[in-house]
Amino acid sequence: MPFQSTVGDYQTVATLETFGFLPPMTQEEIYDQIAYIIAQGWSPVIEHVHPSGSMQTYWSYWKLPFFGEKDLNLIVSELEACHRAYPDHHVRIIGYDAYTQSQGTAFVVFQGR
Amino acid sequence: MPIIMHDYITGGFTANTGLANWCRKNGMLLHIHRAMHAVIDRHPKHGIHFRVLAKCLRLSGGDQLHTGTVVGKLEGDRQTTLGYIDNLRESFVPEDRSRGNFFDQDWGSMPGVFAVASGGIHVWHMPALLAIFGDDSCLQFGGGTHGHPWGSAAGAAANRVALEACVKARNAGREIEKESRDILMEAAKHSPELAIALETWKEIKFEFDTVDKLDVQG
Repeated sequence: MPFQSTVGDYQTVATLETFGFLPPMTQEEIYDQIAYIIAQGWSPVIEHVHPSGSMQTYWSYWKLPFFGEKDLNLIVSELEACHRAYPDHHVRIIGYDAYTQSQGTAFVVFQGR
Repeated sequence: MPIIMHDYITGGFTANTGLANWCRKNGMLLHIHRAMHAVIDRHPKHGIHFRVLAKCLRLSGGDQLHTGTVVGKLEGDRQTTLGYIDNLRESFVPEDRSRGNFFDQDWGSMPGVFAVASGGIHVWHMPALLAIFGDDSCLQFGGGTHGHPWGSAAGAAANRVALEACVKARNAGREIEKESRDILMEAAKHSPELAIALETWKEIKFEFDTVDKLDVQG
């Protein structure tokens, strides 16, 4: 394939951390990722921030970390509750790994505007 | 983030330990190269295995260490490589002779070292690299980024899309090495950068046997 004819504009918009380069995930795919966090034995944590502050190191907690929570539906309903309370904020879920004492994973579930 | 790169074998362990202490004190990331290691660990008749050198590095100090990539141009036997990246990152490594670990190794609270994969790796290797190295690793695509026909930024985007597609697939329970082609092709549908990268590197393969195989009898 001659590349001259296919050169395009590469992605230059700012992205939001993990999975930022992928198209928005479907609800089913997001459930899979949360199920992975739970299966790893990590503690789910929900955080949110206004898009203007998304580059800050610290985002605000939604309630407290859900230590040892194993119920996927509860986490999903908390994510939705957070999104309802702060509809214009980014909302992300973190899997906190107590063994390495750091984040196992984190990704943005709802993007604010 | 300031970062120092050091060749710990040419520089020597004493210099490396001093440098590691200085880096820790001054908030500097220490990236460890292993130039000259092959002189010591690749000859079957003399020398010591890289696993030993890797353990020495963890004791001496450093944040990232180059290891064999299993795939790509810098070879390394898969099981052995898995054995010593365990020794870099885990706090307890059980005896497993198939991985070259001859006794239980308890690292206590000794800080870990990130494994670095580099050398001749490109987007097609991404599923294998993620399966081998997992989280907490450093994947360095040099030619695999700057060799992209659209330039370095597009190359970086292609690699990032490939990595995220693989992570997403792994987390969702798919077998990323078996389904590697499907996963990459699927991701390329929404990323023209990745589609071009897959086209560019589709014929590039490095196929030769490893020379630092475990030489264990019975």
